[in-house]
Amino acid sequence: MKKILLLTGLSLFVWGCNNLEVIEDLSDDQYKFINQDSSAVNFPEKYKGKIVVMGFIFTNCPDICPLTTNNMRLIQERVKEEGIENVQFVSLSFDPDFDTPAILKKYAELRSLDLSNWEFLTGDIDDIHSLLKTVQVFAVKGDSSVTPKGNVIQYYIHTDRIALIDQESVIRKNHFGSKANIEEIVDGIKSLD
Amino acid sequence: MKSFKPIFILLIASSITFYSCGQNEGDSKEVPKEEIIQKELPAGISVSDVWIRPGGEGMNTGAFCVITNNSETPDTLIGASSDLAELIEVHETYETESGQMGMRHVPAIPVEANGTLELKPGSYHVMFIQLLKDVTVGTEHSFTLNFKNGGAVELTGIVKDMPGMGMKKQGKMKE
Repeated sequence: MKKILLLTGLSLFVWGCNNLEVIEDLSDDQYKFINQDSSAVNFPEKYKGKIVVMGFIFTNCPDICPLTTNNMRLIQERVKEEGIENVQFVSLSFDPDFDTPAILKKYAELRSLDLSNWEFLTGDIDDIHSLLKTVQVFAVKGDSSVTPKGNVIQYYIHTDRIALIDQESVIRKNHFGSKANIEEIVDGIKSLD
Repeated sequence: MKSFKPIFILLIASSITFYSCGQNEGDSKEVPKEEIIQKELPAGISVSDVWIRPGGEGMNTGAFCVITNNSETPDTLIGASSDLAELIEVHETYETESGQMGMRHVPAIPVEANGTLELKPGSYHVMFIQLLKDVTVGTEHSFTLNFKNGGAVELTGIVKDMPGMGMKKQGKMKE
């Protein structure tokens, strides 16, 4: 009972400070991923102390995921304009079979993305699925195309999501990725800063 | 001038012979009236605002445009072709009842008479599957849209991340 009261009190205090609810606490979780440079990343440990803007993508997606990625770029630009420095951008692929570090790096390079505070993550499918389940992001294999050479190109049915995570690795707000309201997310970042 | 006369006569004779052969062959096939009408119609399709998202060799990307059917006859977009990728399909982004996003191949999309069909982000798009080379921002690439009545319409699109982003040049139909 005491714990419930404490959590309720804490939630009210936090809500009162920035109007953002507590959606999912990831602070005790550990996921091992690799970034676009093949460096190991312990998520969310590596980003503790930073506000994280996190998108969920697969690079064979020609429509929704580029929109999400472009919205993250726009948020990154706005955050820079506002002079907010403590923000990390993360794009996690849910198609690790195709999305190797090299593919993710190329995906970012083709879009001239500023990777100074943005990492693209991939990794073991079980680790990825484990995090997706925790943050309630849905990504399952859907339709596919077969090239004349017989290569099967897999598409996914997936949640359209950009998550805002605070400095304590708590998800504070989920936004649509492709249809994100940039200013709303920037306001959320400001309220956490 | 006199020296050309026998050749001229020979050419006319040949033409008559070929015409007769053609007529006989044509008589043996019954061409549906609908097909004759369609072939007599002008293409009637115009395409504007063509642009392509960037993509890397071996990866996928999408192209977008606005298709206008200027004729009084409905038409249908039945596919696309290009030497830019292993496979070109027309796809549709869709939302499931539970709010998830997916993508699927669409074999035919109607274009109403005097109507407009927009291939745009979050909706229909031309899907380039397994690009054969890098498609980088600022470059231009050609592809073809195939219509049931209007036939093949060749296009050139400029590569950019988003519509209206940075690039002043617009994609166009090939002349």
